[in-house]
Amino acid sequence: MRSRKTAARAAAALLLKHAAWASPRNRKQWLQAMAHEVEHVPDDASALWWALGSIFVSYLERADNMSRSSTSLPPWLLCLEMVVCLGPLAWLFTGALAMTGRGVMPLSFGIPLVSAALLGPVGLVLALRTVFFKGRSVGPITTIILTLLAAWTVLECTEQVLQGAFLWSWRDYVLMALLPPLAVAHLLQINSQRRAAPAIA
Amino acid sequence: MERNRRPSLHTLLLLEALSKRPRAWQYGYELSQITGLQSGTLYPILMRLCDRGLLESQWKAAVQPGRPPRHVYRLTTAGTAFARRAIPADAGSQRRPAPDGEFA
Repeated sequence: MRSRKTAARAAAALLLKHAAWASPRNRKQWLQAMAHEVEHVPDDASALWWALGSIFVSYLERADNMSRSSTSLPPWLLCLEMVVCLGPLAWLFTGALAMTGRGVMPLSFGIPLVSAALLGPVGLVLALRTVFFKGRSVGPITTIILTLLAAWTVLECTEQVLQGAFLWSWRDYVLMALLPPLAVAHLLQINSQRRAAPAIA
Repeated sequence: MERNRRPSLHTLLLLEALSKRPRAWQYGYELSQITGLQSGTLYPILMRLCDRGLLESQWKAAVQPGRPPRHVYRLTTAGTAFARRAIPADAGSQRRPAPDGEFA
């Protein structure tokens, strides 16, 4: 009985140690407080439960800290990310629009492709706005439109690949269908944090 | 500009427990016992209240020798005023969680 009790306390101590290690720097003191407090929890089961709670708190605070600090990316790094992620799709948009306009590409094929690639230039405009107009953030309607557009890009590019319309490789698929929606998701996250920033203070 | 969001039920429970003894320092485990909140719920609320200047905390030497110091908490003046505004007049046993964790 005694050994089981010791094992539970030892497990709790390990969990609390891990929680303190995983917590962000500004919350270390709080996790230390939780670790000290467990000494005053009378029974082993409650102590273990307390320690599990500290793990939850630590991960929660770590995630919160990471999501907040991403807004403080240097502008040049954000620009680089956006050019890498959205540039190829914007290029595809330009090419597909030109080819459809000249009649080289049939409308039945060109219109869906152009609409799917629209996320590229739209995302780049949003990126410029996010980098250079820090006081402004996109509203909920724009967020919904961009989300729908990103979903359409993924669907349409996936369909193009499945139909074998292009000789797309997996790299093209990543460049055209996966990276642009991820970049837009990042931009929307930054914008939503800017909207919420006054409440955090 | 600060967003005026209604405090959650858990926050209200904690504010109520703290405001019953506004000048007394209270321990985390003690607050957990009074409110019925688990540590994973209680501490994030304590952190947010501290961040907003509604709660003050300090380390206090343990009464028993050989034990580590403990973190203690109490409402600031702003916190007491906030609690008074946030807790409805008919608050009390109605919001206390039942033993199974559900609220009455």
